[in-house]
Amino acid sequence: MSASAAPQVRPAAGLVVHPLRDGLIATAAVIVALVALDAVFLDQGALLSPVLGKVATSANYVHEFAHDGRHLLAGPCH
Amino acid sequence: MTSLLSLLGRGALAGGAAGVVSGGFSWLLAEPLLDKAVRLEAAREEASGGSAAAEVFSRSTQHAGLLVAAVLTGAAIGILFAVVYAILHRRDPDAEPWRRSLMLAGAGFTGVWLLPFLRYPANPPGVGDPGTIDTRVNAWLAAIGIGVIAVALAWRLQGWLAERGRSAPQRQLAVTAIMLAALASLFALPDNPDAVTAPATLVWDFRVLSAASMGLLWGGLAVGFGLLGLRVARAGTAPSRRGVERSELGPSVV
Repeated sequence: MSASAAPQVRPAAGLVVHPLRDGLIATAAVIVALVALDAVFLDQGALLSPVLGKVATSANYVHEFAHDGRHLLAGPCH
Repeated sequence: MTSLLSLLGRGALAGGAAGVVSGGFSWLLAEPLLDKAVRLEAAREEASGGSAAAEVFSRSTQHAGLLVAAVLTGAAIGILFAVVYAILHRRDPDAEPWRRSLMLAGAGFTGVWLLPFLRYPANPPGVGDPGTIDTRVNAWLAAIGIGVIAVALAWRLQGWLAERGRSAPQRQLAVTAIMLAALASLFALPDNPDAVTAPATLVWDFRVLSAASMGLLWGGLAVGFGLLGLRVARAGTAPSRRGVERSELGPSVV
């Protein structure tokens, strides 16, 4: 093994951590995951209203599209 | 060696695949029931004088929406799962990946789905008043919060007791006590305000299918993530040239 290949030498199974980069990646990943879950389970139009305006709330596109999944995966639905 | 990105990739992949399995299952088995519930709902709305509200999407689009929702949910849960897994893995890198994946998914299933479900079970379309949606969402999120906290506490407490050399009955009774406390606080939350007017067989068939699709989602995630972890572990420890190259490339490529 060359020294340049591994930034931190750990046991073979260990997690290689670059604190700043991995912190940012983890934060971004968690945000993306939460937005996806919000769309499937919680959204009542807020997600699309910046793009579509008021119709996003009245037609509730995201909610209606995810409707069956929301019921089946035990989220509260209208 | 493992990087956070590769764990996240495993989580998204295993979760997305589990979502395909779970969504496919519910498309085949749960959609007939959902269709029936929607028809009953429309019939009741017409019978009570009002006309059934115009639907934004056709039922077949909503069927596709179920699959999309299942895959999105699976991938999102898989990513969150991978973040928690990375934290555990960093603290204790020697655990066996298959076993850890199953344990963590079991914990997630219990905390995120099972405990909240015991308090607020899934309801088919037709149950649910749009006027109470905010109350119900808040209560449901609180139930998930209680479930997750209880499972995390139980996990930590059991590890702590094991480190201090306590016997299995002591550890398991401690975990049981936490679960009972969680159930008690769940049932202290306000009742679901909506009357369940759909036929009881329909409601319970629906709940069983709901449980099955969530079981498939978490089970598929556990199996997929565990298998991917085993595969990487094997490649990492293989004495072959290819395995060595891979473990050398790992950190600098990703």
